[in-house]
Amino acid sequence: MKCSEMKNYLIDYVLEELDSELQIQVNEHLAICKKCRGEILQTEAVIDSFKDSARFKPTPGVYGKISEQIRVAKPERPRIFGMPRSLVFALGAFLFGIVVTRSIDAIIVNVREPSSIEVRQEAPRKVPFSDTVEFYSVPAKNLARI
Amino acid sequence: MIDYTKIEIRGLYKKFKQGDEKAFKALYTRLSGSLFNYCVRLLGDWHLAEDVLVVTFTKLANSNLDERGNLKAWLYRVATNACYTLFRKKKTELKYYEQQLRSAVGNPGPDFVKELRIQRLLTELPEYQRIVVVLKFYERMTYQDIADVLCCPLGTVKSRMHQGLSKLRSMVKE
Repeated sequence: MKCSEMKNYLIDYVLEELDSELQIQVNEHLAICKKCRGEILQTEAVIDSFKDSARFKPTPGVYGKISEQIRVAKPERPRIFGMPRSLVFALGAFLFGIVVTRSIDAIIVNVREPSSIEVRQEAPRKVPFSDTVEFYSVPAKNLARI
Repeated sequence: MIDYTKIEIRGLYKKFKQGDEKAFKALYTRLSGSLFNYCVRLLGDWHLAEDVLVVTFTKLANSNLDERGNLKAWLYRVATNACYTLFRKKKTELKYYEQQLRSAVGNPGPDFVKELRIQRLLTELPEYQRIVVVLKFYERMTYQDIADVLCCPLGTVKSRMHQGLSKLRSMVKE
């Protein structure tokens, strides 16, 4: 094991949380490395200062404050057709929306379209006799040639 | 007669959700001590720690958690988030902690001095390192559990731990 790898195991080694195989490897490294031994000692000093420190407890009144604020879990709400009420209401609202939009559409269509269809017949358009016009629109000198 | 001490915390939570108030009391008895200690170490203030405890357990009571989730990690996460909110509002003051410690411990003997020293060390650390150090050294959580509490990758937890430890080592040396 290298010194760089040792950094990962310092805390767990001191807290004795390493698995046996790793612990053996760390011990082997510590036996030959003075620097890492020093680091272990420093880490131990830090962890030891936390080890036996006091553990505080909340005052008895805290639970009273909590129980004032909590609501005890309510029994399940009644179901309609085996489904939660909210789902049934949501489905009902959805269907109602569809019915309303369809009926509004039908009303709008009825207002736009007249009941009877009026067929208007347009008078036939007078189409100018284009060939004739072209014929007579040629210059006079060409007319003489014809 | 149900013996609540033999039921796991998940089971207690389930019982409470079915309407058993005693199960909630048992949950509180089991978890409040370590949670409160965690909050005191983070905040350095008894009263604020109690407020956080009230918020955390009230949220637990009003929650609807997935049965497969880690309840303890969830509780610590809620408490940590509440502490973060307080960190933003107020900086930890050691004077205030000293007063409260004096009233809690009583006579200012060697324990009192040691406690003050530990809290001073913790207060010197940035919050994100302090959280990891307290969870590891006091709550004896694994790195994976800490990662679950903080919702961050395992590598982040380890690097915060190493940064915190090297700072603590240099402070202890001094």
